[in-house]
Amino acid sequence: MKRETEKLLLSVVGDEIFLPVVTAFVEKAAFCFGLGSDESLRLTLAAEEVFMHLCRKANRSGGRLQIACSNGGYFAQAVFSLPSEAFDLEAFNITASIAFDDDAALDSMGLVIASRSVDRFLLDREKGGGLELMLVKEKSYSPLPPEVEAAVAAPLSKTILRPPAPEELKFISRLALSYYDAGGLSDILLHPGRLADMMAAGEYACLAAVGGEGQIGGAIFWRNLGEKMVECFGPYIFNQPLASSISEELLDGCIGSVARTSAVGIVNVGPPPQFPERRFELLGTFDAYGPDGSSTAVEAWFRMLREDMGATVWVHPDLEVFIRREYAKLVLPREIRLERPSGETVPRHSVLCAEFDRPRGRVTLRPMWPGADEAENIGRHLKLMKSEKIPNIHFAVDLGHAWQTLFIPGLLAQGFEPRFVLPYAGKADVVVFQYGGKRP
Amino acid sequence: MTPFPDLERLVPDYVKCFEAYIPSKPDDDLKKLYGCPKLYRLNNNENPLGPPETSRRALRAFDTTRASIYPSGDCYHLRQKLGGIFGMRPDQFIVGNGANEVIAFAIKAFCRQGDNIITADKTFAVYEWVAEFSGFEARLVPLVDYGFDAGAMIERIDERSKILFICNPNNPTGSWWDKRTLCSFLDRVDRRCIVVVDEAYREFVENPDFPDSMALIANYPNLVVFRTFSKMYGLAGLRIGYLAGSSEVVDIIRRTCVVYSVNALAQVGAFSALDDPEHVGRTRESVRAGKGFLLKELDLMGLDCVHGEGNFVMTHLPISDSLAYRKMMTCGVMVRAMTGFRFPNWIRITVSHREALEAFAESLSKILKEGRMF
Repeated sequence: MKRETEKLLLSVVGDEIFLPVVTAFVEKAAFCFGLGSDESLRLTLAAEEVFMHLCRKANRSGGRLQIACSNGGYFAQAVFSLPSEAFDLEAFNITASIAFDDDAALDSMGLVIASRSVDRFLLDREKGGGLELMLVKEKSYSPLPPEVEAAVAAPLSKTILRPPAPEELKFISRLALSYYDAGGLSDILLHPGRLADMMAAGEYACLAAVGGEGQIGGAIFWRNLGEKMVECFGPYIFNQPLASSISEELLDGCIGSVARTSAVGIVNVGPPPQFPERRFELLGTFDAYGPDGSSTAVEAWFRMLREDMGATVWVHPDLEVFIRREYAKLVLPREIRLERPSGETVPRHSVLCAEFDRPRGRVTLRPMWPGADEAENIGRHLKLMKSEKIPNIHFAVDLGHAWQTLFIPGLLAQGFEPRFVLPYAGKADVVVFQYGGKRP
Repeated sequence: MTPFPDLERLVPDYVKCFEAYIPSKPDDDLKKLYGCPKLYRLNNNENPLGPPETSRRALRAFDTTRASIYPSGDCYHLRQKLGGIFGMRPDQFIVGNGANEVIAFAIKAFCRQGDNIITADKTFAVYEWVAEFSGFEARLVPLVDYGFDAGAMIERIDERSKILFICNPNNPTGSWWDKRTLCSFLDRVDRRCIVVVDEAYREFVENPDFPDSMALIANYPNLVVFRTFSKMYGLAGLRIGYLAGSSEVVDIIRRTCVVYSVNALAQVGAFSALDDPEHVGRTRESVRAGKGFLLKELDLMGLDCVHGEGNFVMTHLPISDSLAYRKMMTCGVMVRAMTGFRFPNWIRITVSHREALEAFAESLSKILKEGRMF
């Protein structure tokens, strides 16, 4: 279970006069949570830009907002929470007020600068209807140096599964780098100190296959993605014979550990070669682009943890063929309700939230509010992401919300392709689109 | 504005983090959902023969005017009858709204904050669930060779351990402890804890080495035995089960009971179920034949099976159990996907009547053939 983290709160009126209070609060909190001075300053800079943006562009009625700084063990985060009724929603598009014909103007836009300063930047709706802007800055960890001595694992005839001790975690990192190409590993394994902090914070869980004398033959990691989904990494197997069942045992151990939790499904994206595929279902693939333009096809695997009870989904007719094909492939019983605009009045401006994952060169856009300008808004976001040189642009549409179908024609028209359906990843299933991907 | 009620403050942490069990939808909805005109239920270990003839007659004869009158609050007549059958006093029995209710009675009676119960990791989930959503720790001991590990369970006992739950025969593996194993376990526990032996499937067992737990209560006053009318006696829809133990222990558990929780129809059905001299034999014969057929079919498909006593068989699939569940549902066959029992890629099949088992074999065989094409 995730450990209770330290949390500090600041409640403040959205007025520029309070900027020094906000920056001092975030900076001191980040420092106390163990961020280095450079990381603390970057988080503070992002918080400053967000606060100023909120004061100038979004908060014309002087609404109050709350800033919560918390310690995630391997990261510190600042979350701005604000009631949506007091703020101008349109201003929450990261593209708000950007003059796209003036490249210099891009640099002066607060939310863009904020997104560049942190590792994760996320704008989302809170459960209570308010808005939440989250800035995450990870601590700085040294990667394993290339000259580190390779770790060696011996073939094991009998193993037990157990969570590794903290010191074993670092050794697992070394084993992973000794037996796998770094490019094929989940990046959680590339920084042993970060991995240890992630585990200590309860963010990740791990099972290791351990021999009678403490030798480690393999490991699997997992974390919760929201309430209903678990993401697992691995299993990573270290020098075990082909006939070994360690990989199956680790995967079964992971599934067994989450089987009686609130999770409905478990997903594994880009698993290693020993992944026992038959325990999962292939959802589809997407292309992972590197900064140099190279791409790798990444498979997304999934399995339900429960018997499916069926669900209702809302689908735009332009996506019907794809959706029916995917549901037939996954044998998921769904009542498909076709939905298209019929001239009803919609707000003028749509809002998209952008979740930046800078280290992976990825942004995931999600509709937050419908609006008549949905196609233009998608276009503005695309232009910004291209100018930011983010190679992986995804768009997630939650089929549990009829209003999100409004975005489908715009997405398809601007070069987004539906790649797969992720069951129960939102209110209902979520369709993941990729911009400009190469279809397999 | 803070929403009312303030659930964050009102709800205990152990309830907040507990996930409610969502039972499957009714048959009519499931058939519509999966597009199957017929549905064979092989997921709940129900008796395809239904209730004994004596029960059917009594239920048909039930005077509907009695529906407006409270039933016996403590199942007086049924307890009298159980006492007679097992040679015990009626006050050594507590009847509940299904055996699940008596699990809750027992845990409430003995556990307080900081206490724990001990059971297996891969067994009937309700012991673990009731403990956890009541705020008590459930210590889960891995099965060994698909059976309860007596030694490991004893090793987990500490001064805060209150109840050890043994499912005998174990659902879903069918493994069971013989009299020697159970007595040795009880001796080693040495009255430090209550030992619950859940015998929901006891009536299916034909092996003479199976322990007579009711008789053991006289020597082991910390032993509590659970039985149900849902399985062998085909009264799952009426919800009635019971526990038996020493008078002293049962007196304590009775303090946590909700009286009047067992309805009049269930009491009538259960009372008369015990009068049918042929029902148990007929069911055992049907299970024997059905299990033979099922095991042969699974063997032909090249699948590994785990089974023992009880009207169910578990089999290991080369595909995800939850996917197999969905595919079989489209063929009108409902099995139990076992990920929730911590047996990923296993399904449990109720040994039902021949027609249902043939439908199961046909659908699974088809699914596996499709799978091999890729």
